[in-house]
Amino acid sequence: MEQAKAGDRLTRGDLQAARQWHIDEAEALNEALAAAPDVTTMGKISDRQTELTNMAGRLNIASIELAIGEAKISAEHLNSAIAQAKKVIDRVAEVKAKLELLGSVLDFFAAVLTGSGTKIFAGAVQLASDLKAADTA
Amino acid sequence: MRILLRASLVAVALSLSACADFKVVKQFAGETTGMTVAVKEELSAIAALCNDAADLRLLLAESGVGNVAPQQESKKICREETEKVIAYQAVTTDVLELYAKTLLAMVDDSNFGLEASIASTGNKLGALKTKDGALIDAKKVGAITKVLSLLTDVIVQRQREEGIRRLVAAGPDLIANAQEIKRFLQIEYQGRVTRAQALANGGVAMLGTSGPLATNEPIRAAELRRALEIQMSALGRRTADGPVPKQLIAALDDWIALVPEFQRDALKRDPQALIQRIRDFGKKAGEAREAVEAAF
Repeated sequence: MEQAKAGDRLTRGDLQAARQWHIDEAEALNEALAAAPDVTTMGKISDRQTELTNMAGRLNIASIELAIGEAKISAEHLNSAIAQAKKVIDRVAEVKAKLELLGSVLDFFAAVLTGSGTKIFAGAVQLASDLKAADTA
Repeated sequence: MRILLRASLVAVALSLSACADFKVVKQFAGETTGMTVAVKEELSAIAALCNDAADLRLLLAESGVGNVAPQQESKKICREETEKVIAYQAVTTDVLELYAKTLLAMVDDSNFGLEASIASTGNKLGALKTKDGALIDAKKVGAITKVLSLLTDVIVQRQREEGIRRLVAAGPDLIANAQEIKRFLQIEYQGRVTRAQALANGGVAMLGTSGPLATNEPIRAAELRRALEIQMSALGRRTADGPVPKQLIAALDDWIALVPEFQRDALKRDPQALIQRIRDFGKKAGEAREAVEAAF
């Protein structure tokens, strides 16, 4: 993979699809929120929903400088990760399992925010593993 | 004697034409200020709406529904957006407002406090650049800085007619500032609106009449639902199709189109077409202000 040079960054435009995905997934939790049987379950869903909107907020104003010499991450890489995640998450009906997978994606994007190609790559590997485990469960 | 009479008649004619031209300059400055007031009101509104959405979810968390940490983080993000992104837009808008005020000051031959206001806006811009240089595009900052330098120069030189001429000619940099505000309204602003909407919609889902919160505390749930309805109404007017950004962008677009006409005709004798054109723009600026005021 190409290495990032000085000045390479992920712009807000690069992150737009990722931002929108986080908002869409947050909104998609409203059905589960409305149907939550108790306050504890509602609380867990609410936390995850807010975490998704928080990440969307971070991606709304981000301009992420990529670590020089590490893997150069592009919008295409991120959008591909989201597409894979969406495929699996959309198939998961159980709320608890869905929340866990959304958490995996949030962890990946936390790595993206660092700009470190090494961390992002490691995050992508972990996310792929989590998605595969969920898909075969 | 005849030559002297003719010369003084010409001087009177010129001065009369100059007065008429400066009336147009004043008119343009006044309507520009109307537009910047609308933008600044909306910047305050969108800052507050983010906090309101986050506050309600924090209230629920503090009442035992989920954890406080993500909600506090949500408020922190609102604050950071306000300090970085909205603060930059406020400076961009201030620059256009100061331009209008400087035009007025030159026409009226007064400049009370303008030097200090211009310097203050320059300092705010400088602080933004230092906080997070990567967020602020060097080219965009250049357009702001050039206008501020021009305003300072014109005020300091205190040459009325020359100053007005220079200000009238400052088209491209002014347009760049207006385009930046428009871009913000189409992009980051919408990001803020959709995030606040997602939080508010979640609140509605949590407070549904058949849910555990409404069952346990029906009166409180009903109060919070009413607060949410107000939030959602305000946010609904701010979506991409909503009246607030639509009217603000329409006013900005019209102003951007007007600037070259103003540059071309402002100092001509009796520019009737320009006078009407500025009136038409004034209506758009008024509609933008009304949309902002009706949305809160």
